[in-house]
Amino acid sequence: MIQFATPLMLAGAALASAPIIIHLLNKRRFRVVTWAAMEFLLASSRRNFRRVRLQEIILLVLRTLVLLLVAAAMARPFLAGAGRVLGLSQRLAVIVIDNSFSMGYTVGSDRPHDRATQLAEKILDSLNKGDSVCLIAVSERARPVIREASVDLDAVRAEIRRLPLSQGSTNLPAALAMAADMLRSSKLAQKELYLVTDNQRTAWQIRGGENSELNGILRDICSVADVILADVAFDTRENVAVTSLEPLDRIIGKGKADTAFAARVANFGETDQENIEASFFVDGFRQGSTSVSVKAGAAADVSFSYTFHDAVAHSLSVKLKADRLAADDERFLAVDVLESAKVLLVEGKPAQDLYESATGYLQTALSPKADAAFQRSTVYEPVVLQPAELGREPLDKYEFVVLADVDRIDANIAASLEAYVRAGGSVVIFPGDAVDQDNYNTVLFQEGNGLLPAKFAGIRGDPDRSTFTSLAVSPENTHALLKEFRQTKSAFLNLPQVFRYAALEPPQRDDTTVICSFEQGAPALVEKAFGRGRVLQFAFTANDAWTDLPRRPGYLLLMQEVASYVARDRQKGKNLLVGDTVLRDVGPEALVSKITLATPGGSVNLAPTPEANRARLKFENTGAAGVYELKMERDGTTLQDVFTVNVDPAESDLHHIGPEQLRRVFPDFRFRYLTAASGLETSLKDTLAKSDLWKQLLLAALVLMCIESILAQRFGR
Amino acid sequence: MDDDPRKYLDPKVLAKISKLDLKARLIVEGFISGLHKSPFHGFSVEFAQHREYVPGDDTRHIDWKVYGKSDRFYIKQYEQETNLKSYILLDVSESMAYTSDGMTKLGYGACVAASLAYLMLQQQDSVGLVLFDEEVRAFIRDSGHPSHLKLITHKIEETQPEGKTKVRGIFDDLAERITRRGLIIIISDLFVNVDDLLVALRHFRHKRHEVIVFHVLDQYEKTFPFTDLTLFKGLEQYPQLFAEPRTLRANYLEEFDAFVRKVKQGCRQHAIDYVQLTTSDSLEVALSTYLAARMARTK
Repeated sequence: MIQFATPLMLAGAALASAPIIIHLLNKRRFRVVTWAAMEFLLASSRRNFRRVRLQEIILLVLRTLVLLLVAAAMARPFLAGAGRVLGLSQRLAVIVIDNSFSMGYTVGSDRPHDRATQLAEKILDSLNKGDSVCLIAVSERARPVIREASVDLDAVRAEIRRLPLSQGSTNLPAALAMAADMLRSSKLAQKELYLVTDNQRTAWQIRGGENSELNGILRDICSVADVILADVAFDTRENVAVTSLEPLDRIIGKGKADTAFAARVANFGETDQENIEASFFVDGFRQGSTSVSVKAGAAADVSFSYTFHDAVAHSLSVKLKADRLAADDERFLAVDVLESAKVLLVEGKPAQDLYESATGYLQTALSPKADAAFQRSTVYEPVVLQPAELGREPLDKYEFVVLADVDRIDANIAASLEAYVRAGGSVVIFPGDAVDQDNYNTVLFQEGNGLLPAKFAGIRGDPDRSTFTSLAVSPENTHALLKEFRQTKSAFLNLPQVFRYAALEPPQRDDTTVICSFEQGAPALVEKAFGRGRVLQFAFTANDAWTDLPRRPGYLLLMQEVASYVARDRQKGKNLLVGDTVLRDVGPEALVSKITLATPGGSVNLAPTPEANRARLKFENTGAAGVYELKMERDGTTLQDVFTVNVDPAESDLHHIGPEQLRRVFPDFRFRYLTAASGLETSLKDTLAKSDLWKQLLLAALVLMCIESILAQRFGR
Repeated sequence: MDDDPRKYLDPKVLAKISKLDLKARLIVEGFISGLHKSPFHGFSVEFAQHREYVPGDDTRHIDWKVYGKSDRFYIKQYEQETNLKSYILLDVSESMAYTSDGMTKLGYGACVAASLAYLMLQQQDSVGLVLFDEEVRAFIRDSGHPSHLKLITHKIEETQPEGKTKVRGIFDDLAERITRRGLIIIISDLFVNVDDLLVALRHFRHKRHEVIVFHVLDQYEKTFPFTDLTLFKGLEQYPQLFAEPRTLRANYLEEFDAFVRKVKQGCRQHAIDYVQLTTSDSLEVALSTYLAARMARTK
């Protein structure tokens, strides 16, 4: 069916009457000749009459047609059902609908999601019988709703109406790659891609001003299909979201007073937000609230604290007063509260007097039992072993391992330590007079490939303790381990005297970092990321042999921070984003009898999948944000675990990307751009017209003009 | 050039002169001046003049008396006896009023008629005039008197073109009325039924008349050069025609040529001299044709 993009121009069709008017005017403007040889003229006219009339009519029709065609071309006609009329085959429309949670932004009773589904239905309306449709929902995991092109438009319509607003983020590259596959594999001649989205900048995953991979995908798409980008976003972008909720310490112990949590509240909008109420929940119960003010484009931290009284998994959440985009106003956190966290201290210099030994101060710093006031605030339980016992001890159960002045490490132990760190454990190494530096360099450093972050290069300093150096921790340091030593607190580390220290030569590697140095620049603490764990290497002793730090309060703080820094990240596997997959080892399969998972949407029963000699639990349907509680019967006891699923904070940033920017970033992306402002449905109607006909019409007009000239010449002769 | 008498043979020049008898004289004088050593000089029975003998002249005409007096050879020239009787039939129908360049066919025909009459009278021939359209509008009996020219030219001048041309009855009638054998000169555009025309001409021939047909046409009638949309108003009660001339041209020329061809053929069949004149042609053609015919007649 022919429609017109600029129907007003059709008024130009009135031009078509011009030849007729000219003809009529000419009839009135003529010469009068008094003619004598009339007889011959009349005879000629009688002979000519029919032929001339015919020729005149032909010319008139041609001239009128030319003008009609030109006027029609200017009205930019298109064939809505172009394919069939032009003798082409049917078309394929791949509709990609963004159903990420940002599409739930509510203004009044309108949401981009509603606009998107309505528009998608309009797209369906524009299709003809026989055209086929693919449907892709863009959220964290791009989901092909209809993968095989369907000709059943009613079924597609039902799918579109059913299409839920997800809590996922926008993964455009995945969705577009999927669309590109669909378009490429289709044999239909005419293909269209409709991308219906709120067009967030973050969705395009532009890094450093470009995304060449996505550009490639877009180029592929544009080479086979016409792209229509329908922007259904609102003009307003005000949004406040909780973008993170974290415990300040990695290890949370039962009974530790006021375990602190920090929630980050970000204001993605353009106006400052005053006194936003933020409430704090533990296990679903409201514990209190605070109010926070956030400037436009900035973020503010809100902290809460809570004392856990039982060592089980708990869930926490921070919730803001709902704004227009409610999905990101609450954030969840699952934590394991531990009875205690075992730490293995390998004692290289056993002594009668606790503080003579290499680990004495460390034991006290990690677990200050002597003082009842401190007992409640620490969770670490140091276990001290001799180096000889190390080989027999399974390391898995320890949060981390400390080697303090251990003279030699044999290859077997080095291998088991490596395996331990690779699996997520951590090792802290202190030097001492007993340490065989060559042995460490050979077995542990391995030219930078081993566990040891830096090569030992002798001992510097004054054995007589008459001269000393100090740590040089900048008040502005940013390292996470030194977070308690910022500003004036840096004095806790800078005042103590260091008389001797091991010279450390860290290699230039990405995985190796110098955390702090001595005053003259020699490294004092070096870190290496290894596998899923990390290794810390100090340049001074854990006891007071080389420094007076252990006798100062800074030592306690530093060691607590070190412990917190290197302890296993227990929250990592428990706090997921929407769309992530839950994986749990549930022990020997035979012992597991019943597993139920309470999700925000309801309870489901799960069966573990057997894998070697143990069973694994896999749960992929994490589409809803919230708290998930896992209960399983094992060995006759009920085990309970909690994990949480959160929305992706990147999706909360509603900043928009305009068509010009898109074209700049993706030079190969050619698309037609529709916005809500321009009246989506009308502009869709305009744009749907994929088969513009104006070129053909102009060409036809040109041909007709040529024919007209030739005929006029011939007739006139 | 201004005093070159031959310029009066050009119709464009003639058009500026209004008096027909003056025209006739100018034409003929211009024509004669071009007839230097022409074989058409007449010989009369009555003495006209002497001329010096040149070798090759007929010795019969040497005036011996003059030779005796002057010891020179002179040839005696005589005025020829008037024995040719001519009738000029001039078409004054409406169609003769057509012109494309100022000189109407009738104007041109009038010049031809008047100058022929003058020439004839100069040569002692007697000439008569018939003006006709669908009927005889004027009939002047033939006479050889020089003052006859005045009568003829006056008659032509006072006639306005009107009416249809019709030859059949008129020519038959004339053929009967002109009893003595003579020269019939017809000046017309011949826009009549060709068959009727040929029948009428045959009637003249049957009465042993010599017939010369001067077919006077306008240049535009022969070429039909119109391009613009034109309303053709028919003369002689033809209906008008609104037409795109370009589309008609080919057929028109075809029709017209067929007509001319048919007239020509018919004339040749009956040994009639057919001379086509266009109003832009020099009048010399007409006069030469007449003289050639007269030579043939008197020899």
